[in-house]
Amino acid sequence: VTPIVRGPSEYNDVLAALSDPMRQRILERLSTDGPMNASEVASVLPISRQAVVKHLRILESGGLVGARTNGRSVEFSVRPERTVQAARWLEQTASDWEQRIDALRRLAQERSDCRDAEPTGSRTVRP
Amino acid sequence: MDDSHFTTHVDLPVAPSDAWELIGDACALGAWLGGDVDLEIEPGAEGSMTGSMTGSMSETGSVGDPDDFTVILVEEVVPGERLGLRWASASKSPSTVVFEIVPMAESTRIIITERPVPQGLAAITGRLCAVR
Repeated sequence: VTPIVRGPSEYNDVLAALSDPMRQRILERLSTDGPMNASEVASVLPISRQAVVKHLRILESGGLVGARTNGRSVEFSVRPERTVQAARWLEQTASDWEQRIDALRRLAQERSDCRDAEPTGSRTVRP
Repeated sequence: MDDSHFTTHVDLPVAPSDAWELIGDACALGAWLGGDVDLEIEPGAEGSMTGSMTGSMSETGSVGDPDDFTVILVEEVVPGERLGLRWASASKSPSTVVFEIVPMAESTRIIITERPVPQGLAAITGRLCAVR
């Protein structure tokens, strides 16, 4: 039987990378301004170059940005495909739970209605 | 990594013990997950769900699949309070799901948290899928 697992988690690193507000701002900058090195990113955000480098490495490990050497500088650019994949995971997961929760609500309401319809003498005292 | 998850909650008009029955009983669990759940709700138990009300995405949302096969591993059970599962199916990559029961003033809240499974754990789920 062929395993149905697709291999390493496709989204965990991406979601972790996206979870930080400053990394989101860095991604926005790279999206709007195009490829930049760490110093250029630091010049437009209120954090140090060292902090930018740290965030860029996390974004790179999540596959959200790519690095390319340009002379003595390393330029980073957005890789939108990974962001789209993570967004799809979140979208499908949210949609799945919305449907399941609707069914759960109906089931709980049916049970609540049944208990309300029980004769008083047969009710069980519940915590 | 703690932030890489999806979480939601629902408030139900039932007592905490009744809310627990809806997630801690395999038959009830299947009734609202939309599949036939074959699983003992005890730590380490392995089981499955056949059929699902969810599946691939369409323009109007997820499409149910009666043939979808989900493998399930029970990771944690705290009766009346918490249930942790790991699952994977052909239509969705492996993830963990935790249900937490929170008593409220006149209702019971169930908090649901789903996380993609990291690489090492995915391999374990892969073995489960392979031996089904």
